[in-house]
Amino acid sequence: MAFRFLHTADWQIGKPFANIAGDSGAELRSQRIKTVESIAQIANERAVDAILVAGDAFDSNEVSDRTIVRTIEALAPFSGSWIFLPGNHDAALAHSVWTRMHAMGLPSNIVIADKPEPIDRWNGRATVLPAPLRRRRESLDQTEWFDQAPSSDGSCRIGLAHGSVANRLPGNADSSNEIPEDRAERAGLCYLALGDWHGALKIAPRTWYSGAPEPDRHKANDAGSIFIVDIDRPRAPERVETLNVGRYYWIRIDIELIDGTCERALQALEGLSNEYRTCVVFLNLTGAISLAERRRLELELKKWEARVHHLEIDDSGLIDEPTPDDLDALDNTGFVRLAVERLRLRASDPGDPESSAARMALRMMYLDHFAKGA
Amino acid sequence: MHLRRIEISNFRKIQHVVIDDLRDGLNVISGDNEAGKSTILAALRAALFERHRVGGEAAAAMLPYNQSVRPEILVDFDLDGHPWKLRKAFCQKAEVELIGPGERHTGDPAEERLAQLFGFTPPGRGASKPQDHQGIYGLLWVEQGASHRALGVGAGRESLASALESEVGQVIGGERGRALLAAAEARRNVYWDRRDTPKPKGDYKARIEEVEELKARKEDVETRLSTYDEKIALLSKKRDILARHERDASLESAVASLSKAQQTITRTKKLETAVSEAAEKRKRFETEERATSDRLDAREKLIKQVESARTALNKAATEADEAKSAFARLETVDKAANDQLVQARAARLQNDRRVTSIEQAINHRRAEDILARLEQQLTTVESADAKRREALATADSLPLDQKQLAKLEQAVDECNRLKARIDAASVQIVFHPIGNQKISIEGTARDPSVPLLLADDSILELEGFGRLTIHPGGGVTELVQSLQDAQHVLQRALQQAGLASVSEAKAEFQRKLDALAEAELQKKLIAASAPKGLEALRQEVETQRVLTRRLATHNLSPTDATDEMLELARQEQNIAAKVEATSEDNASRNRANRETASQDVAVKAERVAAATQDLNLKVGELNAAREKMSDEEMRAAFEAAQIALRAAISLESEAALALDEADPEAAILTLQRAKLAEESIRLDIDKTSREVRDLEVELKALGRDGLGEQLAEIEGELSLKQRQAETKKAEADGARLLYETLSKAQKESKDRWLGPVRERVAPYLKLIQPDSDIVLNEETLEIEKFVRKGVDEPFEGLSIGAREQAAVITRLALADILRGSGQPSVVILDDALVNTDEQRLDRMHLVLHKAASALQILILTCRERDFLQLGAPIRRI
Repeated sequence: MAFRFLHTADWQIGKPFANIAGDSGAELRSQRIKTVESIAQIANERAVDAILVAGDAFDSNEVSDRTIVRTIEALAPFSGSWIFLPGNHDAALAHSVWTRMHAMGLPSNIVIADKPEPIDRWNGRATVLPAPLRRRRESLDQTEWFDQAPSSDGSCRIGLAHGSVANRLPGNADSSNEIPEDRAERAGLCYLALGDWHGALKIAPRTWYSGAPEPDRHKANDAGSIFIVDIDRPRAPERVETLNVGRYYWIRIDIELIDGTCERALQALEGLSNEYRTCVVFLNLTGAISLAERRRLELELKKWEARVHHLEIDDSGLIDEPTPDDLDALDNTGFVRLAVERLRLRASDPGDPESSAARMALRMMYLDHFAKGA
Repeated sequence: MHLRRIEISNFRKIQHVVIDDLRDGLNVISGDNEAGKSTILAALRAALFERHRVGGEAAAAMLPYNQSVRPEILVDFDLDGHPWKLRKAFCQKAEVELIGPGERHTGDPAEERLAQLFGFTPPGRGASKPQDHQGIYGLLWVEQGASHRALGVGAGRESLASALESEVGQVIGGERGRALLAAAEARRNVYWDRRDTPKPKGDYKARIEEVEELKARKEDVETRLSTYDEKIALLSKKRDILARHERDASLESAVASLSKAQQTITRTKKLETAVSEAAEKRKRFETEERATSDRLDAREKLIKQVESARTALNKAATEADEAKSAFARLETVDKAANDQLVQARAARLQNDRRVTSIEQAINHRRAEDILARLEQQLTTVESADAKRREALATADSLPLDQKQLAKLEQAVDECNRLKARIDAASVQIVFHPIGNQKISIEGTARDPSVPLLLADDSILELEGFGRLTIHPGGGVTELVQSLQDAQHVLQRALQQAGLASVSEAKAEFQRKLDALAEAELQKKLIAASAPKGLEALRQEVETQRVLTRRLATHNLSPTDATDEMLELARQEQNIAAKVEATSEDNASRNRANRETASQDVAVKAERVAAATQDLNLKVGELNAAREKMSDEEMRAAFEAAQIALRAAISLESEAALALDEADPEAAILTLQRAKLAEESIRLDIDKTSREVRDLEVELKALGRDGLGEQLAEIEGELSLKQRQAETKKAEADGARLLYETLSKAQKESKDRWLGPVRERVAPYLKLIQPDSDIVLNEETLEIEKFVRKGVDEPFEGLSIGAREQAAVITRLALADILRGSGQPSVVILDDALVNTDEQRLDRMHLVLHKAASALQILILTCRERDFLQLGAPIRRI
């Protein structure tokens, strides 16, 4: 008996993006709920049996009531079963976002899987085995009970868990709340729906991370999608369709300027897609740049700041390196020359505690010079 | 440039003066006050800097007082080794002529050439002012009294600056450099305040504060969040407790234990009841045994009482008999004593009567004596009283009293007085008849030997003569009338008194007085004999008479009634009284003994009666009791009760043993424990449930604020603001460093720019004040301060002498510099060192000498003596 469901996770609603000031941040915040709404709509259109949210639907247990209410409202377009799994951000503590949701009065199609108990709402077609986190960091594997969990004959056993799969995730991924890589196999699961990793990823046989539907960080992973999963019958291979639902692209650009010009940085920005309006860009600049080029770069970056949704620049690694031309552009007579020479010496002395101040001073003088000249 | 010759005509107070042969180096021009030495400097300024066509006040100032002449000035000077001649005339036919090597100018071209040669800018119109229009000569030529003031660089600044720049090269950054510095300063001031140790300000400060505030907020929210977390942990713990209770069914098991303990208690209660019932039964039997025993005791006691009552009766009867015989004996004795007492009392009475009789006889005799005396007195007094009454009756029979007599005498006196007055007023006619002719008045004859007094109109018939009518004087008639009235009054008073005349009245009144005196005399006699009055005396006599009569009832002869007899009788009386008293004592003692014995008899008889009654009662009682229950029956009942009691005691101890075996204390303790356990578990569950509910409510309220969201928001904002603050800090540091570096560089450059001045000044200063320096303002080139031994002193703070020395030295140094750059520089000092002391003046002369090696210096002075030793030619005007 076939079972179709929508797998998503890591909505992290209530994430404030306060480091992105003004309207840009506000839009990012409100978009998260809008994305949930579009997920509900897709589920409706694709007639799924259930939506499994594999943890971290909320950014924390301490989000405001307003956020909770708005989220519940966003679920309305899909009247089928919503199975919410408490994750590490929204663990099922004694008092949690889930108990608060309950207190608000939930529609019956919304299920909080806050106990390790099988859920069978589909007339035996499927049994969902949740592994809720009841503290932020569980020391024991919460999926262990899957192996012995009962399910009716002929139903698809689908695991729902939140954490990192042991030995599989790249880099220094969070290694708490570990899930054994062979859990799906050992527990006879048709599919293990996971959350925590924000990129879409098949991590082990029948074991999938859907990733966050709306990206929220400059991490080079494949965020911004959901899965529509079809299990045709128990033990049949899963069919997974990836749908992009994310609105904003979080792009990180690392550029080292090596020829003293800002050309490479500008080229990288030019390389953004036409949808740059929905780009949240982090531009990390390193290397060295002449004062003239610095001036040009700043003018150009001003334009880009206006173009993209948000542009964050880290140029702390970009060193001003005034060229002789730069310095010649300043008056080469009188005390100015003397000052320039002194600042240049200090700027180029890495041992000088004021070397960066000296670089800044030179840049300022250069800009003043052009401001006067203009 | 060197001045060679100056000729002045008609300029102010100078008519004509020529100063020629002016040398290179020092020249002294001396003149007394008012001689016009200062005018020379004014003329020189006019020649060089005033346009010849100048009018108005400037021109008028050149004219001598009240004269209309043509001021004219000729100046010969060398310039770059070439001789020049300048001639200028003002006011009338104003003209100018400038002749130099191969050139000659007049009019305006001459003025233009002059300005070009000396580097000044003439005014558009009006007078030329030294500081505004005369280039460096505002600086180098010093008017009298101005030498200690500021240099007055003014219009000479540009020349000086160019001279300095030509010497030190272009060290300053020019306009652009200044603009950069200004921009750097402005930017620095955006970030920092102007304290010595600058503090952040404005936006920069706000950023820093913003970060601090966010940190504080973050900490606050973190604290709240951790409290929130703690509460959640607590909630979880409480829920665990409840779950454990539920899982262990702790309350149910406690309830079960409680019910079991209660059953045990019920059982022990029953045993306890059995024990107490047995005890009660035992007590009942005890009571019964005691009752039979008591009854038995009572019966035995009663038997004993009957016996003792009988004994008591016998004893009482014996005692009563003894008492009766004692009483009979005492009765006899008492009777004898009483007889004796009767005899004694009779003897004493007889003696009493005898004494009384004698006393009465004596008293009787005395009373009679007193009566006789009183009767004698009474007779005397009664006779006096009769006399007194007679006198009073006599007085009463004469009614005339003193007042009436006085009235009569008064009436007589009035008549007499009136008669006298009538006599006085009447006409006295004395007849002296020749013969004895008769005289009659109104028919009545008159004895002519008696003078006639006439009081009213009378007609005298004089015999032999006829009739004579006499009219007496005024008032006699009224007097006569008054006399008649008075006589009438007298007569009436006499009639009233029943008297014939006044003398009779007087005699009668005397009789009355005599009678009254007699009455008074007798009254005094009575008073003497009967002070209390006659009646009292009579009463006394009567009383005495009664007393005497009463005392007369004795039959003693007066010889027996003597005091000696009385004394004898009294002695006898005393003896009889003593005998009587002794008898009385004896009698009363015997009477008392008899009474006591009589009472004793009664008491003893009473006792016999009582003992008899008691015996009868007891015997009756015993008999009645025995009728109810015999002594044997009673003994049997007692034994039966003893047996029953022993059986009850044994039953009781059996029940107690059973209870002891059931251990009631343990049962109670078990129940208490079960109760407490049940109660505490129930309380714990209730309390924990309540706490869980409270925590849930509290957390619900706390959760509403979205603390996590707040914290994440603050953290995000903090990181953003920190980045912004860091950027600001970098900018602020850059701005500060830029300004510091630029201003330091500029300052150093300026030091170099004024270097030549310092170089020139140094050797002069060394001559007057070693270890000192003069610092000029870089901008204005005015003297800013004087540095002595490393201590700064503002120029204005120096003494006048020091100021004029510093100023002169600076002018010389600047003149050196100007000269070095090829500018025509002659120094003229008009009494510029008047405030300098002698010693310093000497040193200043050395300075002047030193300067004069390269400069031409003109010294105008009114103190020739000061400059005699200068070693320069002195020209006098």
